[in-house]
Amino acid sequence: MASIINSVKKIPILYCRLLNPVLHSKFIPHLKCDISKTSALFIHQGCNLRQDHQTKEDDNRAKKYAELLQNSTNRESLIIQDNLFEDAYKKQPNKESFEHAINTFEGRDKRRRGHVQFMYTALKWMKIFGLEKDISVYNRLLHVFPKGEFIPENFIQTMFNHFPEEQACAIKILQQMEDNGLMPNEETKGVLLAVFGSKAHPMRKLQRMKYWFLKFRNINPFPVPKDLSDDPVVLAEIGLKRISEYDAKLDVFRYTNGAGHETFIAQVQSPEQKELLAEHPKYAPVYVEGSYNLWLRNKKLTYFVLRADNVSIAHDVDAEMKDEESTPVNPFPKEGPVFAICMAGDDSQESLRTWLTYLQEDNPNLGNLPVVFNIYQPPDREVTLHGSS
Amino acid sequence: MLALRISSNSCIRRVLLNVAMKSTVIPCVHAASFSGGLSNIGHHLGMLAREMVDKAKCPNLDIMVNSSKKLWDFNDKGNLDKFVVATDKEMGGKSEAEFIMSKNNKALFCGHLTTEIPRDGVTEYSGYCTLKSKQLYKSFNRKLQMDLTPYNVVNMRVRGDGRSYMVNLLTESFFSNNKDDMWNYFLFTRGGPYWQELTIPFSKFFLTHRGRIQDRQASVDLERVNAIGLTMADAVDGDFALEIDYIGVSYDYTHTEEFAYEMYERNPQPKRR
Repeated sequence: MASIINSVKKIPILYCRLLNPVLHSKFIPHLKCDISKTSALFIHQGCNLRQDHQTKEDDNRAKKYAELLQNSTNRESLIIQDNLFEDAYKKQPNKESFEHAINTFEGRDKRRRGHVQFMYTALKWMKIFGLEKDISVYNRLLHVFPKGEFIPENFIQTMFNHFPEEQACAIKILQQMEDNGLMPNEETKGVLLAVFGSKAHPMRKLQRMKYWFLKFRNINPFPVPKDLSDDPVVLAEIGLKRISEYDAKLDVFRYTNGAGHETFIAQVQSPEQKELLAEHPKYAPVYVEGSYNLWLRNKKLTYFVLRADNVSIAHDVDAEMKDEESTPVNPFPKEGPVFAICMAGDDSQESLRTWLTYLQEDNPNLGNLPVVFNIYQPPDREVTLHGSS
Repeated sequence: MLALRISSNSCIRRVLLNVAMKSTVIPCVHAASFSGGLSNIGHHLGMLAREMVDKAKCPNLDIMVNSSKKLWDFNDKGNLDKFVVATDKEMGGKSEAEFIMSKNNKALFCGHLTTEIPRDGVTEYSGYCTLKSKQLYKSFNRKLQMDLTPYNVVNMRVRGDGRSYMVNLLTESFFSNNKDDMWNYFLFTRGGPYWQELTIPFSKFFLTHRGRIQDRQASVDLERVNAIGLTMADAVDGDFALEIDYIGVSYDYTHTEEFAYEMYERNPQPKRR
């Protein structure tokens, strides 16, 4: 029966169709109250899913079973895991209450009926509790499996997927660990060995994780700090250090903008860039371009660039005027040099003008140059490009 | 009925001629009828003859002097149509992607990644955008494979946005159950206004099958590479943009590694005396 219930949990609609005739047949008394309550819940879920096709009769039935469920004082059956976590969440959404809910489940029934469903539910609630990056919670959850019951006793059982639902559930737990970048520890290994034995699929999954996690742990040549802060200034500093040259100097200055808000501008400029800007010819304009995206894992930053056209075009034109037989000018000019990069607290024109004023203190030549603001504010979702002068 | 069939045949022939005039590689066009198939034979025989002449001329001799080769240079717009973009829309997802010419006259693979799971009750993960070079065909609609054995690294010049991508190698498999096999490695981008030259050795590519990394690994069969692709699937919702200058291959004399991953036995048995 447990396997039916488990498979039904996956496909509620099918479940409902399957159980409807069973529920209203004479089998109910034989199945005892546990199953009837289970079915009641699933009927309830099923009805929610197929509201379009619902008849009044179905509605009444669902109401009846929902009442039955609510009125039952005996809450020992396997179906109330959702309530268990909901109650815990309402009480206190933290690790203690989550583990308390697991303890409550374990204390209820010696046989731990419905533990697979319970674990699937717990995985779902783990994200809501904000515990999906805590390895000890996963280990605690794996401890719910009864030890020694699912270990295959001979090679045929090993071959033919012993207790498949339970193994699939354990794999799902490990998969969620993997998705959150958690490396299984010795305790995880111990629990899985005690529950499923050394050759079961969850153990294989654990071995794969241990092998490939280590292979790929340090391959990113541009690593991002493990814990990214939410402070925009700190983020801007990390981002600018990442994209700028090695010897570039980082400056952060805070000011109050026209609307009276405290904001900041962070900029980087290397000595070489400073020299280039000082030598930039007066007739060629410089551009402030942006905003471009920079991603630090899941945080999106935007930055602006001060750059110019490729000056070699001008040289090419001169050469062409001298010698008409020289090669024609490339219709697609190459990108010009970048003079400085900045990130602002607010991406307004005002803050960019403030940035240029600040930049001009160190780069007096900037005052002689025509500056073109090439700002693109994405209306909804647009991709901006480099060198779009 | 007859008229329709003839017109469709002539249509196919015209398409073939057009394509043949543009390049020697033709797309896989299935003949609508038996007579249509026969009418293509002449064309394919011609192609075969050209291929044989080409082979006699030894077109691959340049590998004796050149240790590198640009597979696709995106400085001219022409190579853009040699790639196809696919997103998770094909399985009900909501990601969007396109492969266009950037404002610097380079190629741009950009779009929006959404990890929202399609509500079909079965799918558990979503959110990918892929770029793949089109399959090339030679005469008689046989697949044309790239032979990359003279090279041992992939070279790319890209400018990204700080997100990580994946490089895929698709090879021709002997058995049909291996047709979804793929060799992958990661492509990390720095972000920022500067271009980034990157080199990925072929020995680092690991074997996956339908998105799952395999226990029994093998190095990639460089003799029969069908296509090279890029994947964006880093599970972060948002815009992405990767500008590509060129994709090439080269031989790095200092790289002697054959395969980066151990080839462990799956169930090691203790040795009997």
